[in-house]
Amino acid sequence: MIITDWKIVGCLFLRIAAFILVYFAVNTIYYRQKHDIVIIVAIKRSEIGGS
Amino acid sequence: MLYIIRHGRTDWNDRKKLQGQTDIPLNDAGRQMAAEAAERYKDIHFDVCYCSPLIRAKETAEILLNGRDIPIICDDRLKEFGFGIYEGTENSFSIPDCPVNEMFFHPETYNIKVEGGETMDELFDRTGSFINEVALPLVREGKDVLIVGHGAMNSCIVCQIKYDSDRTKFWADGIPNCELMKLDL
Repeated sequence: MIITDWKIVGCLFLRIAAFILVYFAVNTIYYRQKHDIVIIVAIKRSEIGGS
Repeated sequence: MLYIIRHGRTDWNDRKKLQGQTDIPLNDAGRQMAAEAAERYKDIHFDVCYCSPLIRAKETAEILLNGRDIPIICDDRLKEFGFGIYEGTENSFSIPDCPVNEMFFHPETYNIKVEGGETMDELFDRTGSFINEVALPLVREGKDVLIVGHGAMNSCIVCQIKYDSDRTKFWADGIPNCELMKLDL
């Protein structure tokens, strides 16, 4: 007979959920910043290269 | 030795408009920049100056070499990159599908020919022909040659001489207005 400690399962579930949430949040911020930097660099280039 | 410099500022530079081959004169700030550059580089020896025929480059060359007995020769191959119908576009990045923007993101793969404009291959061909037929023979004779040009055109010359035409480095050197760059040929 398997005895399940629901507190441990729940805690584990919450930890995994928190990890996934933080992972996606950090990734989103990182890629958004990277994208912004690429745009800024291209704008600077266009100010030079357009003339 | 080969030297290269970009023209002073224009009103279209200030308004972030794509100039390309549209003939826009220097503004007061641009003339001031050229005069300051003349003072800064007065001790550098030049035998001859080759210049883009566009007025902003010609004015820059004239101010830069004012009072010095150096011939200024215009060469069509030193014109700015042609952006065709997109010349005059203000802040092209506010137009998401503006095709010429790609040139500033990925110069190594950009080879679109917009209406009235030119391709990167054409820019490389004409500037390459200038380097091989004009600049290189003079430098080999021991002459000091000055080129007065534009952002993309100068970048193309620098890319060919400094980076062996590696287009991923097309924008590597920045090319600010009125700052002299020395190139080893």
